Amino acid sequence: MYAKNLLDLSGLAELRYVRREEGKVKIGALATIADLEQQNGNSVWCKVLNNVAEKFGSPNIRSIATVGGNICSAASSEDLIPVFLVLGADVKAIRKGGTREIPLRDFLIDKRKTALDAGEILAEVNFPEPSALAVCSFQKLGMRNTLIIAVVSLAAFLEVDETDSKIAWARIALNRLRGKIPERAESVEKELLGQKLDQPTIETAAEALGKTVSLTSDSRASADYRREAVKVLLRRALVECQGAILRK
Amino acid sequence: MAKRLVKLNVNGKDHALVVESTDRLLDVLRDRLDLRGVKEGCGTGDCGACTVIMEGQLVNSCLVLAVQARDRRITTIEGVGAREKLHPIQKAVMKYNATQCGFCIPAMVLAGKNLLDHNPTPSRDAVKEAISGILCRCTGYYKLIDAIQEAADELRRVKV
Repeated sequence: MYAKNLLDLSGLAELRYVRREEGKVKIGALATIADLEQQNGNSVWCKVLNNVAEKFGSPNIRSIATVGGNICSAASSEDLIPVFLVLGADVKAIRKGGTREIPLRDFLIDKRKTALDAGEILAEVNFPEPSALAVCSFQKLGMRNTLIIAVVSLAAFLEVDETDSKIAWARIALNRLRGKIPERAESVEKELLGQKLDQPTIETAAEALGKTVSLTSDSRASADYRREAVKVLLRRALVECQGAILRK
Repeated sequence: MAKRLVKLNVNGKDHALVVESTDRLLDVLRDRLDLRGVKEGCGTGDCGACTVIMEGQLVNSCLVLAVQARDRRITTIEGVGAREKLHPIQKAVMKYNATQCGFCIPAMVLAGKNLLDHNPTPSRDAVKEAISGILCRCTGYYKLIDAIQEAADELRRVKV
């Protein structure tokens, strides 16, 4: 016997879904990572969820690992959390006789600690359906591609104004921070606002992220190594966003 | 702890078993159904040696409780091919001498079979991706990839 106390939720089929409703994308806590991988569509949220799923664990893991499980693990290494943070996600917690919605960033309190109360379970993560102008990128650096806990992962979400080509909305989130839970890099987000998404802007943002971010040192990498890595990942993310805008 | 009655369909055969609620699918397959082709390597989902196909998806049977597999269809290596009539992947694995110690091979064959069940014309990268959750510590990946690709060609020939 390996588990002393375990409540198996996997029979709750009603918590396994990915659907669009009331201007939101709603994902049930029991949707598997394979479910995200199999989302068909050209929308920005489909593409980024496909992308994070393909870099997640291995096919064997993706078939049983759930979205709710990854979020509730609330560890710095979780890959879904930076993506949901930049998508502006809320989570829905349910308990007998009640439901509440909490912004994901408030749901994550500390390493392996969430805002869930006793008797509550995570039921859903949802986010506003991104506009036609939105672009998004997820970047993960690991020592190999499969079955790897990231050295660092980073997600970027941008909206660029069609008329003046300036960045109207920017969100960047990353993991492996000293705070032990994934968070947004708000000072860099602010610097991007009103800028044109060109090479100098990308370089400035990458350098700014390297300067401001407080990263952790552990057995996988030192904070100094991670500092160089996050600059590269932000560059890659913004270059990918640039390409996506050109293709629109 | 509580005992539960679970029904499993394993390799096309229905079983009704009383299991502890904490029993792993891996142990039930090996110890109750005597399917010793399901191997335990790490027991933590890292090595993939205990891979089985559950409802068309690869799973690590060390991470699935027997009660979570209730009413599901499961395929283990014992359900692939027969001694007299091997599956094309098994034939190709022999032809390419793709086994070394053999411990990962049941999982590798199942991963290859599951891939070809869903995608009869996989690219080399798709084959790599399909077996990426299974570790071979003899480092025999290339021959396995060759074998799965040849089996894909063979299966297509048979169908045409």
